[in-house]
Amino acid sequence: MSPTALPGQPEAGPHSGPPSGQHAGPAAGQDSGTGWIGCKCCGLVSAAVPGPSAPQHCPRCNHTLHWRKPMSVQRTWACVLAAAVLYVPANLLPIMHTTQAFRSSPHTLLGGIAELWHDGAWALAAIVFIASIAVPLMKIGALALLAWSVHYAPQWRRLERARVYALVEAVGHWSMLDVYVVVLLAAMLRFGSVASAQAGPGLLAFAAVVVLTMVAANSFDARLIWQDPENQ
Amino acid sequence: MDVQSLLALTLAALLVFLIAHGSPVVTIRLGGSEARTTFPMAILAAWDAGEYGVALLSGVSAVLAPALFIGIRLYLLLPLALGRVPVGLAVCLRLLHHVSRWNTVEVLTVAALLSLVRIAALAQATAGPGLAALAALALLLAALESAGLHHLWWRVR
Amino acid sequence: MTDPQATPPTAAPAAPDAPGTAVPPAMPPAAVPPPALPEPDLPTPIIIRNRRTRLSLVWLVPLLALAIGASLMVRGLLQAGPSIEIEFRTAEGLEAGKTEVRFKEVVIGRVQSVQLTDNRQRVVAVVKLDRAAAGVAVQDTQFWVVRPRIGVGGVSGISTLLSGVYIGVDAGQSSDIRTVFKGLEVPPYVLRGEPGAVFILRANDLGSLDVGSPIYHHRSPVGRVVGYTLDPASGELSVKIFIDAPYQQLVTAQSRFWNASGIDLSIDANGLTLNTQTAASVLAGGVAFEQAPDSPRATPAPANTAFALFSDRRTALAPPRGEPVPVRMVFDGSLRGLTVGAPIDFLGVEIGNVRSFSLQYDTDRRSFPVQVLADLYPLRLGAVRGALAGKQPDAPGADLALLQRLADRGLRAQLRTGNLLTGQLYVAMDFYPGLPAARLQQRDGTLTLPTVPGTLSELQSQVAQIVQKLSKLPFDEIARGLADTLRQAETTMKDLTPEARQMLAEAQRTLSSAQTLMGQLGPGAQGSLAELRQTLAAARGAVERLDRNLLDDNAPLQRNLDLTLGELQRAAQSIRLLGDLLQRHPESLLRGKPADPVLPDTGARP
Repeated sequence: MSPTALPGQPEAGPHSGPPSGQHAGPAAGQDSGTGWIGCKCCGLVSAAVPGPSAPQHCPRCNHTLHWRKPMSVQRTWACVLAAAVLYVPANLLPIMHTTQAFRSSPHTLLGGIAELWHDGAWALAAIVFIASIAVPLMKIGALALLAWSVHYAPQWRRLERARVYALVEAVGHWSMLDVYVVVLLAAMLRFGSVASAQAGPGLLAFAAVVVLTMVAANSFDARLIWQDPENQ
Repeated sequence: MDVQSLLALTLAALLVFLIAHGSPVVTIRLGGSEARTTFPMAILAAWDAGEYGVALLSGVSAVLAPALFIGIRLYLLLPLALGRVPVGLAVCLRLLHHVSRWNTVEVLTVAALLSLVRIAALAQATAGPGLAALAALALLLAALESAGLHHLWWRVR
Repeated sequence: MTDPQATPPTAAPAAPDAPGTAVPPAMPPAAVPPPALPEPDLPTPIIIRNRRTRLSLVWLVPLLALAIGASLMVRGLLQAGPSIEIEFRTAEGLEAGKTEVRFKEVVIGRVQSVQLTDNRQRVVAVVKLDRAAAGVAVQDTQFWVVRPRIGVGGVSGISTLLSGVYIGVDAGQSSDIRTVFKGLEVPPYVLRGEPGAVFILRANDLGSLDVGSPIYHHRSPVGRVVGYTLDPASGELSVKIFIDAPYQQLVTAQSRFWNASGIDLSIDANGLTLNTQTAASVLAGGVAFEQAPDSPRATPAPANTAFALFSDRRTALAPPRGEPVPVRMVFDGSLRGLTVGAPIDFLGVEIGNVRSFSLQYDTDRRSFPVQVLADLYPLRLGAVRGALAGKQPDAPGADLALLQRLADRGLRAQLRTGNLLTGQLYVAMDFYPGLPAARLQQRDGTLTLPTVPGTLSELQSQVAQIVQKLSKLPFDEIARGLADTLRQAETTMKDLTPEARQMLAEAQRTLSSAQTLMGQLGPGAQGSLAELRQTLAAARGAVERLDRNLLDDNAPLQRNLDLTLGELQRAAQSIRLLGDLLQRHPESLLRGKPADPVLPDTGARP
């Protein structure tokens, strides 16, 4: 039987056999033991060497081999929490100051979307909303959920969780949209007091949120979704 | 896809990359004076304005990552097209693996379109050749990504 | 046993850290071989070798990209023109990559970068011109920065507040290429090719003129001042003016220019005159010009002709004076009221001006005469000069000979009051036939003219003498004596009255007896008595007439005196009123008396 490919599904390892709990390899968190490990970089399957828990490297591409990413859940939680904390100033502080006809006005994320909506550019407002509000929130929520579910709901809806992870990874970088827009506007609108724009303090926080969610998604080892808990 | 096609696409991507970041993305005319910006100039402007983090992040994800993406591919494909195995294949492939994650050119394209629309409300804005080149670059990079280089791992031994 | 060769994953990411990878990581062949199967009789596939070096169509993509990139670059190169450097004092408003260079409002280039010069005294702007405008980079092209400017000539460049400053160009016509320019700090006031003509005015004083001050002809503006230079060596001031087309034809060789700034108000021996141009010239200064009177219609003057700038309209339009003849006059008495520039009048014609006067000391007479130096312009005599000077009026000594001839006939200089109101004096030259012929002396080229004392001063001295004599009279004593006499006369009269009556009665009797005696004496005596009586009657009549004409209250002399006194009184009163008015409303001198306040309506009137 060949399982349909989903994130987290190793090419080899403890779960390519009958799912009846037969553990051919060590449980999560243990590096030693028998079994095969797939290299995340080049995909080569190599047999894990039992022994001390020194890091082992893929023979082909020299990438570090892990059963599971070390401290994956912790790192994910750390990044998710940091992103959540930084998301507050990212929304409250203005991300851009524009000067139009001698009046200077700050724009926040939500404020900018509201302006687009009021101006009638609904499609643009929707795009910016999705990219700057929905996606980061979704990423934070999803990653938090995934990290929480590893310990507290290890077998709940694995397929959906795996799909959620795939989605998070796929659309993660679209949050950079607003950052690029502000950078471009600030660079192009340089007409003095008639029309000019500068980046505000909220932009740095927002960029940090994007980076942290991407790092969090990277830290989370998707194989944990499919892992059975030790005591089962 | 065979090496020749990959090489052709990668060369195209290189040229388009140069056009995309060398030509102005948007041209604005306001009250008789004109401003033209390329994306690297915008990043430099952000750096000069004191926004180091934002400038660094934008530079890495929109300029450095695609540059490495194309550059490493070229470095690998050219010798391969000539029938030789490039030196440091493993290192390059690993680097590619990491770099691919940070490639955000399609986001930049949409962002450029968005800023064009927002500026059009204030001033007379026209899309420059850089914008079309960014869109083309996004497509090319997606094609290259989907073609992938994983079969090159065969050669690492 | 698990199949090490797991089925290659499909669309979803296989390696969990590489989103987007779709190609399956092909497995290396070094694995467990598949189980052997019985071989059927299978046909062998035909192997078609690939043709070498077969270029796939995918190569079109990079070719297309190359073509587009090349076309963009070529277009950029084609549009690029020469790069020039312009040096300015400051880079205020200039932005690299943004500031444009405009010629007649057409963008012909852009500032690439702005740097300091090596000695950090000035800035250099590197400008890239468009190819179409490459011809602008020639020897006599001028560049300046257009910024908002507020000056006497007006406000300019306001639009740059919104659009940003730009560099203006005045393209030259030379054919020598030049790439390093020195920018002007202020825009030039005359652009090349601007229709009109430039003229030079030589002046002693700039007055309130400045660059941009308007030039008027018959009170309509036709040009402007575009610059002035002061020669440090000679102190001569040259004002450069520009007259717009088509008015430059109005400037002829006979045109006279004068400084029309402000209000030309003069109170001099001729009275009070007020002259202005427009309100703008009052504020900003201005120059006006007109054709000299009585001059034939002349052809328009060529450009850069020099004219003299006079200080007011009168001197400008006065007929030409010619060369001055310096003269010297010595007067006794005070010269209060004589000013420099006071006219020298000859039978009503102004033929000269006072240049200076100074106090001298005469040791012989122990007096302080005043020496007046003046310039005479014999040309002002007009045709008279020709008649008087003889056959060669322009010979060198002709004017001196002319003056000598006039002096022989009794020409003298005298100070007269020109204006009783201000007390201004002027020098009048007139003939005094009774005086002996005077020999005109010449000293240092200055002719000394003989003078006579002024009438006013004579009158003054006479009145002073009378007053002195009057003041010497002992009025007190006379009054006292008169009073005594009157008192005595009164008492005497009182005493005399009864006696006088007696005497009168007696006298009457005597007279009647004398009359009878006379009658007795004879008709001769009566005749002479009748004559005597007639004489007495005539004398009485004469006394009565005298009484009527002079001493009576209704005498015309008395009445006239009364009237005159009344007039004087009224005159004094009105002068007082004028003084009051001027004190309250000094501007009424110019504007007239302010309107009387309207009385409130007192309701229905019958």
